[in-house]
Amino acid sequence: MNGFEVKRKDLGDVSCLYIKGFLDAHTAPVFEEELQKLVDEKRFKIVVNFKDLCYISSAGLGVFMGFIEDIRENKGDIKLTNMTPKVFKVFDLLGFPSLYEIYDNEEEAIKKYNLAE
Amino acid sequence: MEKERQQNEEIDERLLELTSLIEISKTLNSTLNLKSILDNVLRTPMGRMMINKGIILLEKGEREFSVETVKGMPRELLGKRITIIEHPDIPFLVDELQEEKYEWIDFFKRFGIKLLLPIMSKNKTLGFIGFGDKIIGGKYKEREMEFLLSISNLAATSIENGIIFEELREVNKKLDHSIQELNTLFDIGKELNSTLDSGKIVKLLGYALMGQMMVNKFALFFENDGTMELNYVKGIKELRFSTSKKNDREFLKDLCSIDKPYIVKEDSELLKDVYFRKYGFIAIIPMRIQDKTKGIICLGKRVDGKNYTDDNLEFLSTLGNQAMIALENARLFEETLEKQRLEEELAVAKQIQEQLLPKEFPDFPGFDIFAVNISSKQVGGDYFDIIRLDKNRLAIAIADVSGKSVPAALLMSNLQASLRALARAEISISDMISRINNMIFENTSPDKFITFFYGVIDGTTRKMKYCNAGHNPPFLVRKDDSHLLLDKGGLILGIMENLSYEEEEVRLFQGDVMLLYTDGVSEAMNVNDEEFGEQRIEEILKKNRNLSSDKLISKIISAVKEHCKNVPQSDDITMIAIKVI
Repeated sequence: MNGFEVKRKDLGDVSCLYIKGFLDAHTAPVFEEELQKLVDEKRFKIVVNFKDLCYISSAGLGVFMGFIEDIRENKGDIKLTNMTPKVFKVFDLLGFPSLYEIYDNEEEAIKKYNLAE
Repeated sequence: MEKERQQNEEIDERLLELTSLIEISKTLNSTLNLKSILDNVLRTPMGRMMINKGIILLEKGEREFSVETVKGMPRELLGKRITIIEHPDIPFLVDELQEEKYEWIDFFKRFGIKLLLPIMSKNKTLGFIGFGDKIIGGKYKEREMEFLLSISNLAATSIENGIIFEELREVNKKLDHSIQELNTLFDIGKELNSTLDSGKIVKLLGYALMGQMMVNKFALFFENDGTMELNYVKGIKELRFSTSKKNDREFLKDLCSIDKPYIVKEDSELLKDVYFRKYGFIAIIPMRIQDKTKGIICLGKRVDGKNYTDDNLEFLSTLGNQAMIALENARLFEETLEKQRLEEELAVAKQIQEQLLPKEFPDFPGFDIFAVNISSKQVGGDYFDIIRLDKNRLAIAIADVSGKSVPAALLMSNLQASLRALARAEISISDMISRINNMIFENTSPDKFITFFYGVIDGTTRKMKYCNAGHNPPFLVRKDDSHLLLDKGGLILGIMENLSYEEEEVRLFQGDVMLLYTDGVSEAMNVNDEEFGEQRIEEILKKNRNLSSDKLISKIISAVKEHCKNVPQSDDITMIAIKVI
């Protein structure tokens, strides 16, 4: 079974999630749990760093869809960074770039949050 | 001299033109990107000849041309379509064309296009290149038009390649998308097949729907007993159905008849579609197993604003059916598990019951005693006991505990404990029963009760004292075929506190036959739902009074079996026969 890991780092009121490995139907619940934790803690400014993510399936994307509305209603967002071309292709195919802000690196995404304040 | 100079100038100009042509040909061949090809085709001549406007249209449908790129003109024109049926196939000046013959020319006139060059390839019009005025003024000279024609010819091949490339890219993208869909089905399928947890299956289906379709409003219904039940809803808070509302009921029932995926029409007045629109559902996907609709997926708008295509519906159908099969497997598994659990429980109950019942009967001179218990599959809660109290006295008890299986067996065990604890105490039978009643009442809920008969035979005086707490009255048949029903006592045990009980003493004579039984005997049903009945028991007793107690019981059992032919035993059968010898 291909593994998946998620680590979290809080920088001020922005939370960064570092996801690693394979985000598919099998591992989606793990990621969902981590996002749910953030929502429960009312930390709605979220950056997801894709640097070490090798693969994402649509079930993985489904997790993002399940939260985005709720998070935006609370004046937050999920911004995505450091995507490899392979992962970006899946995002692109399903039309996600029109819905999510994608940045080259974490700093840009955090800066964007700070500017908005 | 003057002529020479003019000639030189002309040669220079020609050279410059050729250089431009080579340059443009190089650029055109260096890319397959249609947009940059088109930009180059306009840019070079506009720069070289100082032209203020440029436009390129490409064929998009049968004789339909769409504006693909503009320079020096409003960008809103991009994508605008015009129909051009007939046109000259050489470059021509817009003003020189007869307007009555070519209606479409008005469009170009309006935007100040002066020169139009058809882009031809193999006698087919790929499109048009249009140019406005030269900034320095003056009409297009024939040589300039020739130069532009060369460019347009050069462009034709590149544009054609660009178009093919574009189409290829589109096909590729579609292919990638199909691969992506297959991956999703594979990914989800793998996961669906590895779980039997229906909650998890529903969740997985949700992920796939949201991720693949970009939708965050959806609902899942599952079939149950000819109607649908809402099982899962995401993103719609007010979605609720009540079976007490007629329309809700009809809607849910109606869902079962959906056998194909479809898009809800704006003007449909069908009840289900009115409901779907009310909650914002657009795409409706039945989940089917073997031509039966077992569930429905209702999807709201896609967040990216796209419509659901036929391909999407097909994909969703496959996904839905796959999930439904996994759910069905999970359900069957749970059912099997439940059945196993039940069987295990019954085995435990049976074991408890077996351990409580006496396996051998004490030898009691002057009496021939035999007892039997045939428990039903369900383990009905019958209990009997035969206790030698002392040298002269023998206690007999028979009881039917309410309920079945383990709860009944536990109550039975309670009863036995109380009985055994009190049987040898120096108290009257009625008092003892009263105490047992209180004990049972305190330890159980009022819906649990016991019918109980208890008697103590004194071997020397040949008398029996008994108390009957709501149990089927035992028969005491005398030698002369008269009989007594032993029914003195009181209410069944466990429903009320502090009850008092009566007791009665009967004399026993040589040749008397006593039978204690439970309702598993008297109420044994045949195929026509007729009970075996007390009457039949009485007849058998009287007819066979000379048999030994075990044979007598066998007689009754075979009669009951004969009566209940082809009907499985539904309750425990318990009997104690006592003959006075």
